[in-house]
Amino acid sequence: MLQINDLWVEVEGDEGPREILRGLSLIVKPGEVHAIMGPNGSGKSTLANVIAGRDGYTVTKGSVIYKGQDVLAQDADVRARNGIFLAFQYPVEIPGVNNMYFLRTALNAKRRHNGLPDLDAGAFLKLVRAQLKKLDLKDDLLQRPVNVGFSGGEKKRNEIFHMSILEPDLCVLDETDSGLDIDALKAVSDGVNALRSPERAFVLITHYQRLLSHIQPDAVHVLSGGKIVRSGDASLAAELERDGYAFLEKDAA
Amino acid sequence: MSAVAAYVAAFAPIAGEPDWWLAQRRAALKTFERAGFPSAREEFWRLTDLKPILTQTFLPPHTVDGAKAARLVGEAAALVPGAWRFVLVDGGFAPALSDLEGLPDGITLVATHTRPRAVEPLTALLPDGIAALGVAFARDGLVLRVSAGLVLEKPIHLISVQTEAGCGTHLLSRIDLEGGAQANVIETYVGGEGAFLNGAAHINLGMGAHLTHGLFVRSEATAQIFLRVSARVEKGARYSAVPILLGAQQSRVDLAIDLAEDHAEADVQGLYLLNGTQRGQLLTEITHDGYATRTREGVKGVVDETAHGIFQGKIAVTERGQKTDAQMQSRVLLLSETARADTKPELEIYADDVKCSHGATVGDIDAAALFYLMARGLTRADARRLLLRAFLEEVADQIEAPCVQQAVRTLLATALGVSAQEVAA
Ligand SMILES: Nc1ncnc2c1ncn2[C@@H]1O[C@H](COP(=O)(O)OP(=O)(O)OP(=O)(O)O)[C@@H](O)[C@H]1O
Ligand SMILES: [Mg+2]
Repeated sequence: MLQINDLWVEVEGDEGPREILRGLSLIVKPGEVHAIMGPNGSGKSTLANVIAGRDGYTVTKGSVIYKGQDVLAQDADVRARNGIFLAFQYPVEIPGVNNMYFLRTALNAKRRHNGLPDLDAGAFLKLVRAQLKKLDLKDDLLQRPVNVGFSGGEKKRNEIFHMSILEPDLCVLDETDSGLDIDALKAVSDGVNALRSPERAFVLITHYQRLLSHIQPDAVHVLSGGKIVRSGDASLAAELERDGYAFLEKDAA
Repeated sequence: MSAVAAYVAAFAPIAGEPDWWLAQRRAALKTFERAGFPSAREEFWRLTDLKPILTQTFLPPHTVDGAKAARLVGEAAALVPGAWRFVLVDGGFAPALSDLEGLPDGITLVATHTRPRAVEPLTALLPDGIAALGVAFARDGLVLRVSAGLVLEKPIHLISVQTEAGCGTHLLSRIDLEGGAQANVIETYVGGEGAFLNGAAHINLGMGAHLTHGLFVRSEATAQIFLRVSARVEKGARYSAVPILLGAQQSRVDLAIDLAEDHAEADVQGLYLLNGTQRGQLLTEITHDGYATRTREGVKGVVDETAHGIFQGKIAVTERGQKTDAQMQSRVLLLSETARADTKPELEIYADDVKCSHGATVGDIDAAALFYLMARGLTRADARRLLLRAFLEEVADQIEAPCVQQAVRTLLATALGVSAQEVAA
């Protein structure tokens, strides 16, 4: 599904280019859930953004292969229509753009790409109503401008709501669990679990083991200094929760 | 022959016009001959591209292309469904394309050539050569009078079509709402291949009257469209102007609003959406000359390619303008490196107890929002359109009159290439 080989990424900072990812490699197979943990500023969001195709990053080396294709040359929208989804760490507020209308446009863009006919407003509404219920989201969030005035938790749930409607193949969730109350965390986790399937893969970026007790990961990776420094099974998350990232310094020493 | 001399040579009486009117036109021609065209050294013409006007003579049209007129009128009419339609083709009233069925008693809606006295405020005051030229070559326009207390149920849609390429059309109009009357008047300008349109209107709003006045420029990409409005707003009356600059090579809308009496209000919600080498210029001068008068002005612009958008907004408060409350806002998005915007707000205040503010921003499309939309699968073009529409729709949101608001939404949908049905969704 996703194969990242020796990825080196820079951003243009105030004092010239700055290396954020330094030789990161990762393989995610269909049906798998991979958790990525790591200290603040270690490059987790950078990785997510590079997978999704955000401008402003320069890949100096390496490749990102998705479904057998190197996607680095593709625009974000092409990747999205091909099934890559990024749940944003900070979902963007977009005044004047109706959430429901936007989502229907996005879904129809993807359907057209897959040779399917557009969903009309009625059929779309039906689909949406069912999902809203599952995620315990208020109806009126649909009629509001995208993320405008949403609470932090509503924004995160709205991301999962978009994901549920768009049914992507590769879901990258950047700290979707941060800032959620207990019920919201459960709703988000249920949303993810409902989408789990042998054809779909997840990359979950998180700081907390709590999410991973709801969503059982196949692998846990620690990202530090721009590359993956440790990988393990679900028990690694529990260990990190307990001991923190102190081992990184020891390793460095 | 210079452009001025060519106009003088082209001057001719119009069949059936009264002698006194011919004399007035002739006098205006003299004024034009003396004054010539405005110069780029004058503040209010500095940012206007005068070259096309100076180097070319736009003579009066001869022949009307009836098929083209009918087609353009049909398209424009769809903007304001259920309106009384007043059509001017190449500057002359076209009754066959108009629809004035069922006008109630108490409203006068006629062509200027039948009542030239109504436009005397425009002939008496000739601020510059272009105004003088407009009177000298005026053929027609709209004269509207709504009697006291009458609220017009349907909007009035003036459609001005220019069918003959390279010609000059000069319009003089007059709108009068007596005390307490209310009306929505929309003017749509279409056609005008390589042509010049020079329109002037004088408006008087009696006590407590309210006029919403749309000025929609949708002319062809080679047209020069210059519109000038002077409005006098009496006690407690309100003038709501909605200038929308979309078409034309160059459009210039100049609004002079005199809040002449206490509690008079001006409300301007304008926008320009320009690309190619277009230039769009909105000038407003709002004079607060009564007690507790109020202005709300918002202008939004989107400029792409090498186009140039201009907003010059002046708020003047006289000694009589105590308790003035005036707000002026302008926001522009530049979509390319070569696009240009000039925003010149100006306050001139001679009263001490006033609340006046202005703000202006020039920016780019929000990159984070663009990425968010694209990351959900929208093409860059669709994502941009959606964001631009959202930005410009805020202008429509501020318009109170539903028919004018709807017309602006339809205009935006067409201009941005999204269906009106989508906009409604
Ligand atoms: N566009 C940018 N310009 C300059 N620096 C950037 C840019 N994007 C990221 N960085 C820097 O790169 C580093 C990694 O950022 P990133 O957002 O990927 O971290 P993260 O692991 O997601 O952190 P967190 O856990 O706090 O979300 C940080 O030091 C950040 O300041
Ligand atoms: Mg992050």
